[in-house]
Amino acid sequence: MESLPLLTLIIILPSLGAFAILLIKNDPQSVAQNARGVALLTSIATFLLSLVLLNYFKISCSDFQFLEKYSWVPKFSLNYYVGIDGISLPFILLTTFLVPITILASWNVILEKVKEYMIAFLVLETLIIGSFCALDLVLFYIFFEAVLIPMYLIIGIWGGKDRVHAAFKFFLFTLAGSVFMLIAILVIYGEVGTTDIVEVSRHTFVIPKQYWLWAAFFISFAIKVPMWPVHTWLPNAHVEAPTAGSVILAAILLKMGGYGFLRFSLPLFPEASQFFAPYIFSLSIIAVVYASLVALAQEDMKKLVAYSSIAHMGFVTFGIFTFTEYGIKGALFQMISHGIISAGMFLCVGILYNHTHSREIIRYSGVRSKMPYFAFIFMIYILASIGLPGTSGFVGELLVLLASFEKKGWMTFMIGLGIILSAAYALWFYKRVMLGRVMNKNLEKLKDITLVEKLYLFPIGVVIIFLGIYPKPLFTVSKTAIEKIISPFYPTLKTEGQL
Amino acid sequence: MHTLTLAELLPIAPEFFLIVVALLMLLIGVFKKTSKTKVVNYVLLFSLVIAISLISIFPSHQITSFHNFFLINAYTQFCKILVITAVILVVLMSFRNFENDHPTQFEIPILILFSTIGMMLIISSNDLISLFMGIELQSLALYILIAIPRDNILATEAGLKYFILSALATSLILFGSSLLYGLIGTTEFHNFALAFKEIPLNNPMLIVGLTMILSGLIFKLSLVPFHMWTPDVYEGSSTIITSLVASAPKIAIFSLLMRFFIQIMHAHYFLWETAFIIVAFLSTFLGALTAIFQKNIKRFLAYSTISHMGYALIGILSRNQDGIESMLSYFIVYMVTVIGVFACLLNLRNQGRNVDTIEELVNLSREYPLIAATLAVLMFSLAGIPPFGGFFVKMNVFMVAIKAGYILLPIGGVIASVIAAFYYLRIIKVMYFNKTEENPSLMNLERYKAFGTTMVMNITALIVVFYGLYPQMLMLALRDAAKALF
Repeated sequence: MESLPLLTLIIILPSLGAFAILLIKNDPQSVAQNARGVALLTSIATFLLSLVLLNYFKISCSDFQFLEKYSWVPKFSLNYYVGIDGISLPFILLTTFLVPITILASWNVILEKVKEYMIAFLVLETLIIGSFCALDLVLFYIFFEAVLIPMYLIIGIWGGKDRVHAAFKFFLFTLAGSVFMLIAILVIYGEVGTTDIVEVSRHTFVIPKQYWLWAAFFISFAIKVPMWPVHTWLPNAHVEAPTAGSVILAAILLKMGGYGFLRFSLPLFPEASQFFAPYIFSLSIIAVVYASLVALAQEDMKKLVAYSSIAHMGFVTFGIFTFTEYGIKGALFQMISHGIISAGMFLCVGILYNHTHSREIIRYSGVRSKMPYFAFIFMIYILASIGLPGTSGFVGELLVLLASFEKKGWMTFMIGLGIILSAAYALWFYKRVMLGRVMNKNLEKLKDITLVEKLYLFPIGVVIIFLGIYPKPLFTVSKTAIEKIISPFYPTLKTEGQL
Repeated sequence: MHTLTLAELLPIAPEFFLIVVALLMLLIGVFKKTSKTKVVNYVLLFSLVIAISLISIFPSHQITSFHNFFLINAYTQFCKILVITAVILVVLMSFRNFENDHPTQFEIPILILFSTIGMMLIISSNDLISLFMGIELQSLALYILIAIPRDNILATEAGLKYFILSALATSLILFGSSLLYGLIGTTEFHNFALAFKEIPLNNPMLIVGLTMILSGLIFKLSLVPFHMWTPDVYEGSSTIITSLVASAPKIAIFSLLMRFFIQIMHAHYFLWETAFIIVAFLSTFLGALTAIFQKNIKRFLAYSTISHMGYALIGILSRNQDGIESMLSYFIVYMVTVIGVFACLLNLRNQGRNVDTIEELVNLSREYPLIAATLAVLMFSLAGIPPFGGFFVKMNVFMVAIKAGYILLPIGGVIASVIAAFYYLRIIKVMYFNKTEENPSLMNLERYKAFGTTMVMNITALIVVFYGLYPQMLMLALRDAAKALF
C-alpha cells in the first residue's frame, strides 16, 4: 500500500471524470445521459476508493497517514503535502458518500447544461477532498478558496429565481473571510519559513501576534460554519441553490469551517483559542437559540432547514472550544451526523419541490396520505434532526451537552433550550406539511417516491440509525487524533475550570 | 575621445536590427500596391521573433555600451524578451482586424515596431537622457496608433488626450532630470548612488527632481494619482491598440522603475518608500471602486489595470531580489491574462463591430461556450481566485511585502481584491447567469474567426490555468534575471 498514492488518486479521480465529461460530444440528449452516467460512475468509484482508504487506515497511529509530499515551489518551500488522520477521514467518507447521492438526486431534475453541471460537481468533489487532505497551509487555502468557483456557478446557473444575488452574497462573504486567512498564512510563512502545518504547529507564536493570527483564521472559518452574526449568506444560498447544491453546501461546505477550527485554530494557536473560547461560547449559544427561533418563523421549507443548520452548527463550535474530549468528539460526531441529516432534509424538500414547484410550507398539507414511503423516511430525518435517542443526531448533541456541563451549568441550559426549540420547529414543520388532510388541489396528483429516490434516500436513513445505535466506529477512528488535539490544553484546563 | 567599436555595437544588435527592419518595412509599404498591411505585418512578426533569438543568444553578463548610455544584462534581456513576446501576441491578434479595418494603413505595424524599439531602449537605458529618448520614441508611436481611426471622434479624443497629458508627463521627467543634473552633475544611473552620498538628502532640488521623475513614470504606468487618461484611451483606441497599450509599455516602464528604485536608489529607500505605499494603496482601491460602475468593457479593463498596477507595486517595498521576482511574475501573468481577455473580445463581433459593452456578452455561454469559459477563467484569475495564475502571483507579491515587514498594505490589498472580485464576477454573471429572454436585442453576437486570435486566446487560457501546477521553470528564469541587479 505504501507505493500507491491513494490520497492523490482519490483527490484527482473526480477531476478525471470531469475531464472525460468535457470530451463527450454527441447530440444534446445523449451527451446529457452520458454525462450523468460518467459522473455517477466516477463518484461511486471515488467512494469505493475511500472505503479502501478506510480499510488501510491505522487506527492506533496518532500521526498523519498516507503521506505524500512533493516539492512544488522550492523557493517558498511550498510542497504538495497531503495526508489524513482520524479527523479528516470521516469528512472524506462523508464527501464521497454524498456526492453520488447528489448526482442521483439531480438525475431527472437538472435538464439544461447537464454536462457543465456534472463537471462542476466533480470538480467540487476534488476540491473538497483536497482541502480535507491538505497538510500545507497554502495548499489548503487553494482548495478551500477554489471551492467557491464551482459553487458560485452551481448556485448562479442552476439556482432559483433570486440566484444571482445569492451567488454573489455567497462568493463575496466567503472570499472576504478567507483573504484574511491568506494574510495570516503569509505572516506565518514570514515567521516560520514554511507552511507545512506539522512544522508550524511546533512553533509557538508570541501572544499578541497569536491573537491576530487566530482572529484572521477565525473570520474565515466562522463565515464558512457559519456562526452568528455572519450567517446571513447561508439562507440565501440554500434557498436559491438547486437541491444538490444545497445538499453539498449544508452537508460538506459548512463542515470545512468546523474542520478548519479543529485542524488549524486549535493546534496552531492553543493560547489564543483558550483566550477567545468564552466569546465563541456566547456566539454559539446565540446561534443555537436565535437560529432555532428564526427557524420557527420560516415559511419557506429550505429556509427552515437552513436556519436549523446554523443552529446545529452552533453545537459544533461550542463543542470544539470546550477543549475536552467529550466536546470535540461530540462536535466531530455532530458535524458528520448533521452532514447526513441535512442532506436528507434537503433532498426531501427537493422532492416535494419537484412535484409542486413550491417551497412554501403553507401550500402543503396531508402529504403523508399521498406519499407514505416518503413520509416514513422524512420522519426519520426529522427525528434525527431533533436529536432523538437512537438516531445519530442524539449522540453528538449529548456529548456537547456533557462537555458544556464542565464549563457552566447555565450554558448547558441555553444549549438544551436549543434542542427543545429544534423539536418545536421540526415537528411543527412535519405536522404542517405531512399530516392532516390534503387541502391544496395541486397536491392531489402527488406520487410517492420512485425507485431512484428510494435508492438515495434509504442509505441516508440507514446511516443515521446505524450511527445512532452504534456510534463507536467514528469514535474509534478519531480517538487518537482528538487526543492529540486536546493534549496541549490539559495542563492549563484545570486552572481555568471555572471559565 | 572614445570611438565606437563593433564590440560596443554588438550588445544592441537586436535594436539595430529592428530599426533596419522598420525602415525596410516603410519601403515595402510604399512600393507594394496591394494588401500592404498583411505583408508588413508578417515582416514585423518574423523580425520580432528574430529579435528574441538575437537577444537570447547574446551572453547575459553585464555590459554597457554607447558611453554608458545603455546597459545590457540578464535582467534587461529578460524584460526585453517579455516586451517583445507581448508585442508578438498583439501582432498575432491583429492580422484579420487590420486587414478589415485599416486595409491601406501599413503604417500601423511599423509604428508598433517603433514603439517596441522605444520600449527596449527604456529597459536598457542607463542614463536619464537615453531614458528620455526611449520614452519619447515609445510614446510618440503610441499617440499615432491610438488616433489612427481618424473618423472616430472617441479615438481622436483619446489620441489628443493621451498626447497632451503624456507630453506633460514626459516634460516632468525631463525637468526632473535637469534638476538632478544640476544638483549632482551627472545623468548616469551608476553615478547616482555615489553622488547621493555627498549631498544632504533633504535637499529640495533632489526631492523635487526625484518626485518629478517618479510622477512621469507613474503616469505612464497609469497609477493613481496620474491615472485619468487610462479609461479614455482604452475606450477610444481600437481594441488591438488597447491590448498593446495595456501590456508591453507597462512592462518596459515598470522594469525601469524597479531597476531605478531598487538597484540605484537602494540605500535611499526612505526617499521613495512612502510615495510608493500611498500610490499602491490608492491605485488598488480606486481601481477596484470605480470599475464597479463601468458598462464599457474597455473602460472596465482600464480601471482593472489601475488596480493591478497597484498590486504589482506592492512588491517593490521589499527592495530585494524576491521582490523583483514577484513583480516580474505578476507582470507576466497580468500581461498574459489581459491579452487573453482582449483576444476573447476580438474573437467576437456584434453587428459588424467590436464588442463594447458588458451587456453584449449575455448569451455568450450558450452560443460560444469555449470563449465564455476562457473569459470566465481569465476573470477568476484577474480576481485572484485560486487555482489560477493570478492568485499565485498576487500571493507572491503579498508574501514578499509581508516578509519585509509591511503588513497593512497587503491587508488593504486583499480588501480591495474582495471589492474587485465583485465586478469580475459580474462579467461571469452576465455570461452565464442571465437568461437570454431577458435581453433579446443583444443576441447578435457572431464569431469573428481568425487563426491568430483563437490561438492567442487558447495559449493565454492554458498558461493561466496551468501556471500554478509548475511555476518552477518560470521562477528559475526570474531568479537569473533578478540576480543581475544585485
